[in-house]
Amino acid sequence: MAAAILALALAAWTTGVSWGVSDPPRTPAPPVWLDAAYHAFGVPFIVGGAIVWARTRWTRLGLLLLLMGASYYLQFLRVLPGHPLLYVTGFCLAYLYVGVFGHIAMSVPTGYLSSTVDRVYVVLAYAASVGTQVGRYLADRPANPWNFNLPQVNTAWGKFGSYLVMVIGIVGVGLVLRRLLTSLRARRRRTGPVWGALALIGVLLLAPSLASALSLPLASQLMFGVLLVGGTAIVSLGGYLLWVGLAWSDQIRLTALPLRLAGERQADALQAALADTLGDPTLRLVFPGPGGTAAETAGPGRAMTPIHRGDRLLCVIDHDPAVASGDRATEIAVALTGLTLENARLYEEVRESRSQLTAATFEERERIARDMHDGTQQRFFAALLRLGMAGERLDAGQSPQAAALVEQAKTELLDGIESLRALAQGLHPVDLEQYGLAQAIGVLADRSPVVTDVSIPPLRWPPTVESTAYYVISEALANVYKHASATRVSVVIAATETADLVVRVDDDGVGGADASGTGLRGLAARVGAVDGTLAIESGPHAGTRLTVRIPLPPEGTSS
Amino acid sequence: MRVVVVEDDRILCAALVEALAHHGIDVPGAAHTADRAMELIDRHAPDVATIDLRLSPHGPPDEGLSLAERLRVRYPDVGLLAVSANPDPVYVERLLSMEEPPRAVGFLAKSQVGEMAVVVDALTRVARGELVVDPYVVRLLMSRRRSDDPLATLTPREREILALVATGLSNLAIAQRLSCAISNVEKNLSTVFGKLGLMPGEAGRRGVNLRVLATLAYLRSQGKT
Repeated sequence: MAAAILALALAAWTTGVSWGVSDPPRTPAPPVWLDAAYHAFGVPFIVGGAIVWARTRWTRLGLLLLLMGASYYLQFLRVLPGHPLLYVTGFCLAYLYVGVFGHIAMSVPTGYLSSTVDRVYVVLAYAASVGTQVGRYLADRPANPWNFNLPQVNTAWGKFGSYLVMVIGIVGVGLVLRRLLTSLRARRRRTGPVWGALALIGVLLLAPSLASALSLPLASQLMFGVLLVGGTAIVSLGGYLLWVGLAWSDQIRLTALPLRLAGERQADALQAALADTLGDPTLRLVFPGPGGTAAETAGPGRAMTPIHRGDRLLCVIDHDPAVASGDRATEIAVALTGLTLENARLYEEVRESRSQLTAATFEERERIARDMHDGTQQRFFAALLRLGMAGERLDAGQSPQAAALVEQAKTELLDGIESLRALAQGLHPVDLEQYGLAQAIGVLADRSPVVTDVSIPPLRWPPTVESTAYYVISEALANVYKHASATRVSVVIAATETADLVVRVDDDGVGGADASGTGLRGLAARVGAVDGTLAIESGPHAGTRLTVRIPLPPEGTSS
Repeated sequence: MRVVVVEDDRILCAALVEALAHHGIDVPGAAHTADRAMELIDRHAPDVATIDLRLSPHGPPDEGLSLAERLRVRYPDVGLLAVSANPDPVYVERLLSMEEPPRAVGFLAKSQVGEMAVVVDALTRVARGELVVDPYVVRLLMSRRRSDDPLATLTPREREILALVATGLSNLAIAQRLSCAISNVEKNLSTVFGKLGLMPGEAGRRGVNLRVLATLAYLRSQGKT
């Protein structure tokens, strides 16, 4: 606010002063609007510069704009013939603002010059805009009041100066256009309208020089002057509108980002979507190392935007500084990326803990099965043995009831042992660990009450994969016996040792299996725990086909 | 008859030793581990060793089988009777593959300890050099339902006779058990061997054990699909 008031005051003062001094006799008197335009030309630069300086990150650019607007008014010092020092100053620095303009054109938007070519150009622009005037003053010693509407003698120095400024101007326009055409899309979209406007204003600035160099009549020179003033206003407005429009379209483009990121867990794809949306193909996602830290200092000509969730660093975006960190579009994109990354991280955590849970369950099951087999079952065998001995010693002729009771107890104990064996086998099949799926399923099929065809390659897979497949098949077979009224069932595993394991259990029973029933839901959960999938095809009276796909755990992970 | 018992469960082991002694069998020692078993057999030179196939909760489920294989190489005269709580055909197959042709080996389901007479009979036959396979295992093989099962072509009667052959019984014993004429058994068996593509002539010449072997070998080859 203070800056704006200061700038307005400065503008008012310079304009007022220039107006005050622009009152020498002239014929014909210029129209008021032309006069006003000439005197007001510097105002937008001073006000705009003050706003840029006070309200944006580009303070240096704001200062340059202020400087350009203010220096524009130096030329009006030439109107005062009675003050030789002011006159000389005004004469020599009359076109300083053109040099400042060149400086601005080369340094938009930061206000800093980034390459040697730019620096050389700016030095040349200042040298030409001031040097030609100094030279002309020394050569021609002009002493008469000088104003835009007073005819002057066009000396050789004057023409030389005009031509030199034209050459410098053409080179400047070329440099800006080259930048416009070769820069990053991100940079072009943000700074492009400004460069375009600067190039056009540059062209307009050439016009008065051309008119002067060709010694056109004063009326024509005035006309070019009007062209410069009016054109600059129109071009500035057009550039601004284009800039707003592009920023708007960037935000619209941003609305597509959530769709692209939805469910994305691959860092590469995330990076590509972000680079595309922000228009910076050099954008990279840098993930923190094991210590949870990552380099946050940008390399030369780069910028870093960290993404935090709570106090945890998820990622650092290494990008071109043109993708402004404070930009609304950038902020939204970064926030979306943060959400996606956190989502991916949570997914990973869930997956990991689920896999740990599966492994723990697997071990626990194995332990229980072992206890059942090695503790309980052996006790039962010992009891059976003693019962048998008791039976031998009983004289069946003398105590037939006792003998019958012992035989009954033995039968019941045997049933108990068999169901315990089946239970332990279901929890952790011994054959499976020792001989693999083909053999273990063969044993299952041997006990099957329905004709069972088994086709399983004699390969070995990681324990969790085998035990899941075994569980799936034994559950599926049990379902077939219980519900399907099938006459035959086939168990097929199509797999190699490196691809996903695909288990298929087909029966020719009554079909109509309900995938939402507790049995199949439990099966699906067990398969899901190892990232597998389960599909059921079961039309009425069309048999049932169960297809389960079990992915192999990635290399190097424990299972 | 002298028998060494190899069984890791101490209570069951003690009961088994006691029961065998009651049946008049000399049990000079019992071992809970494979290493101890080697020592005992080396010292006592028994006629038969009964071996539990699973010798420790944390070891491989077929540690007893590996022990049997080593024993057969070092002490070929010692008969081996494997006992398993998991009477799966897989184990029988490995046991019978130790030697070609197999001899003086037997396989019993652990549930037979309730019938010590069966155990003693198996020990006696193994000590004589015969082959003994638990009827339970044979029943498993006989009752399995596979579409490619060669036994599907057999009549129930033929099946029954083949099952008895596989447990190691002679034609006479089978005839007695089924209360029929021995010629009836022979007639049925030749049909069975014909249907299964076995050579009864050779098997007949070389005795009962070879018939068991032939039958099991045949079932084995089919079980590998």
